[in-house]
Amino acid sequence: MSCDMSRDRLWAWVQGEEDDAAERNEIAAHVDLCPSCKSLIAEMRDILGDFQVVGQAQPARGRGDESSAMQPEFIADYRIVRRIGHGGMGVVYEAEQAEPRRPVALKVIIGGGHVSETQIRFFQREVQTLARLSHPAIAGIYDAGQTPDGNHFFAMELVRGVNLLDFCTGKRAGGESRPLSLRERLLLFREICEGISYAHQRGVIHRDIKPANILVTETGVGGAGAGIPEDKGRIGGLLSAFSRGPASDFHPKILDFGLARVMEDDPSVPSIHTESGRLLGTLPYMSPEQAQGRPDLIDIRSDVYSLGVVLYQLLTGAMPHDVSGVALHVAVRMICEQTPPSPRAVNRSVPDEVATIIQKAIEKDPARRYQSAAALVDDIDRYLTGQPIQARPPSTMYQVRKLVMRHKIPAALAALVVLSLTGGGIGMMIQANRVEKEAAKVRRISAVLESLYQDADPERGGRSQVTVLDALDSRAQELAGEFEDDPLVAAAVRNTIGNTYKSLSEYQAADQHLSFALKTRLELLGNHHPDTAESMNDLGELRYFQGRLKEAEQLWDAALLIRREVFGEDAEETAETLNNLGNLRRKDTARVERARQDLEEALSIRRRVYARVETDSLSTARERKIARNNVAQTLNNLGGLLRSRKKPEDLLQAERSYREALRMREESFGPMHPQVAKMQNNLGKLLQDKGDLDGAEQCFQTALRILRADPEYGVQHAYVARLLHSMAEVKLARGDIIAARTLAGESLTMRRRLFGENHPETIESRRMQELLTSGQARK
Amino acid sequence: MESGESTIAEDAALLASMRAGNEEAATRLSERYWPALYRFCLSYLADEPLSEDVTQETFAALSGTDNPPSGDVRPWLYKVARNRCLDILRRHDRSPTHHRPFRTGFDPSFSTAGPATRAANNERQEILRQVIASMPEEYRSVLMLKHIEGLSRIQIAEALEVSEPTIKGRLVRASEYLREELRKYSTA
Repeated sequence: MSCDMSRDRLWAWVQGEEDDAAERNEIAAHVDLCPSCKSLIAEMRDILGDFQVVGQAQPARGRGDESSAMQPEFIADYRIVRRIGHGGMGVVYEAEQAEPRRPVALKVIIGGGHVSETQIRFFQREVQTLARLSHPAIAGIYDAGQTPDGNHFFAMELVRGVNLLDFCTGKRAGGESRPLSLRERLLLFREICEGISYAHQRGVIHRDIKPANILVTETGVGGAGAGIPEDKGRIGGLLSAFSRGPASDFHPKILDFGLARVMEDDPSVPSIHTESGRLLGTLPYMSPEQAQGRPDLIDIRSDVYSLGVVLYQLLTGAMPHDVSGVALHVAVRMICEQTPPSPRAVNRSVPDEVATIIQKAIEKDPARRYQSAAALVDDIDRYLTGQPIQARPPSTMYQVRKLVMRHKIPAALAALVVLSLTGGGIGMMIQANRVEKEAAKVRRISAVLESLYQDADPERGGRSQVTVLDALDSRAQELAGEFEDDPLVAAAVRNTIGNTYKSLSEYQAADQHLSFALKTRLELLGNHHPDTAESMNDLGELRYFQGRLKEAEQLWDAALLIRREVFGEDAEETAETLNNLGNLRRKDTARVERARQDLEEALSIRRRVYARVETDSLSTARERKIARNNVAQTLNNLGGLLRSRKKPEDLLQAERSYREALRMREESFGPMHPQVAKMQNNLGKLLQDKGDLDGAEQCFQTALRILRADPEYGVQHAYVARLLHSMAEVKLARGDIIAARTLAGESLTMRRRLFGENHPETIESRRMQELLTSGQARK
Repeated sequence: MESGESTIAEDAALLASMRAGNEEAATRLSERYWPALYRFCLSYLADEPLSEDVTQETFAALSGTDNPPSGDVRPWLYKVARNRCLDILRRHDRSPTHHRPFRTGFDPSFSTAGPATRAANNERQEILRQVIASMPEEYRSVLMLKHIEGLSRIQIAEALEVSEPTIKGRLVRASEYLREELRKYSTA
């Protein structure tokens, strides 16, 4: 360059990146006068222009641009009748083949000559996959080729059928008909499995098995008029004549091998297709390995899993994991980590053996599933012919191990817990020593187990752990029988099991165990023993949750007497019962002052205990956390009491209590924990009382956001119901009656289901609902 | 697309609505940015299905993330997509450029120039494609975001997670790199 103008300055100027106006003017003036800079600027502009041309010519593929494609009259020799769907790469038409004359489904790749090689490769892969398969349960391929203008297509049989789920529930061609029986559903399902098994034998994994990809055709109903689903490129034709078993006048057709992976050849294709870990397939039907985006782990057992989900849905009407409306990462976690409810928990009419078959098919670990679709068919056939099935329900040991793993407790502790629950451990201990000493050990073990559960879900109603509990329960019954000579051991175990049920809102089962434990302890230990007090306290908590407040209070009064006597005035045990009593009494307006004394006493004990634990160099993080949470619990209750008194100075102190409790819980659990959500809700309610609706709404929304992000908090939860109620109140206060009514209605439905009609919370919701529908609210 | 303040505000409203479960809002947002984001990914991965995957993941992340963009949605989308692309390339031990021709889908038949000009243009553009394909990622990303995606300097800084002055400097160096490389080719 002949002048001293730097290229950097010119580049900045030419790209409009020079912010300084004086500098801009100076450069412009210079360029005007300097021929070499002028030519340089021209070159720069050319380069940038070319860059834009080259860069912008990228095929910016939008979504849904296929849908605007014009419908052609003919494609090759096929006369187009209508478009019946479109998928990622192609459009699917119903068409008519000239020779032989027959209806076909024609799948055409979009874009003519502009289609990339990759797209063509995928398309051809589907053609090749289908060409390998000729089975009555699989929609087959007739022809494939390319039109003169470069459109790739293939023709396959046109299935005039009904989606599997609709068919089973009676929504069939020609109007409603009766739903299929269990046996008919199983017969239909086994044919699907046979089709998939056939594909597996030919090295093809489907990877997107779901009811929408399975149509059912009925012989006798026939061709025209039967619905072709307007699903993404799902097609097929032909009514096959194969017939097996009594349900033989309808048969399934599996469609869409578009995601299928051919096992042994073309290894590059599947790896490209799933390289980014994208979720190929439809989430709720995906195996954990698929949901995690682990193509390397996907094999025929992934299809077995999806088949299991389909059967689950066919027989219960529900999905193992309800991921609707759940954020993707949460849904994936649910699929990978949560144990779905047993099919029998959803539909009691599903036979035990069939539930076991489904559970084996949808095991998280592929090694625990049926190892092939054929093995799954075998077991279904065994069931259908009255032979014992091969699958076994998961063992107690396995379930407990899974539970322990889920709660991530240290291995040594886990071993102890497992040992204590498998009977052998307790049995050996009891034989080695005598009852009194060993019962103490068992109590300690029980306490460990219990804290494990309670730590995980103090107020959760999810049913996912019910199967585990069933197993523990039956184990407990066995133990109780085994230790007839040692009823105190049986009482300790059953107290633990009872508390576990209680923490999962399974009140009836909890009642049975806790009552048994208290009765035994009262009989054998009398009413001055700490174990008796423990049972009284625990059964009292259950009564409280059941809304039987009078009984709860009597039990806690009795427990408090014993605990003051045995543990003294400075022990967590004493504070625990005091806290419970204060919390109960604060709901009775006549006894608020008494409640305040209880809670303040409990708080001061718990603060002392916490301070002790904090300064004790030997205390564990877990102990500190428990002590901190106890303080937060009482602060929360005290805050609630003060809030109910409505006086400004009380409200101020209540806010202080809540905020301190919130801080402590955040310290213990992190900001996204349900315990934090609860404190946010309470603080929100207080702010609402103070008239700070913005603050209140913010708290409620934070709480709801936390709960939504928490997979354990399903739609069925006492706390979600409470939160919905609170939000309804704010909406009402703002005059948004419609929103309030929706929220209140949701809360009421949930509470009815959880507690029945006479629980105070249900009554609260009912009153709200009445208010909102009576028109009073507007006033 | 212009990304003026009203667009930013509109995007933010659409985002809030989408995260509250409004599918219509999700569709509108993805219609707005899907093609551009896909093209951007393609410039990294040169692989259409893979680029589509990353685009899809990015939109999924937008609805699922705990840390959604607080203001401007576009830089966030590019940031997430770019990080994902770089992740994939790293995982497969590939540089964004080596052995990955920058496929553009450029179609000479769209050009209105005469045959001779078209041939010359084709050659020049082919060279440019090669230069772009072999240029350092930090240069290419800034040029792409500026000249193809039309992001402002603030937005580019946010997308690439560096300061604004850095972007200005990088843009100048990237452009100069482009010029020098093109010169090498044309004199070779």
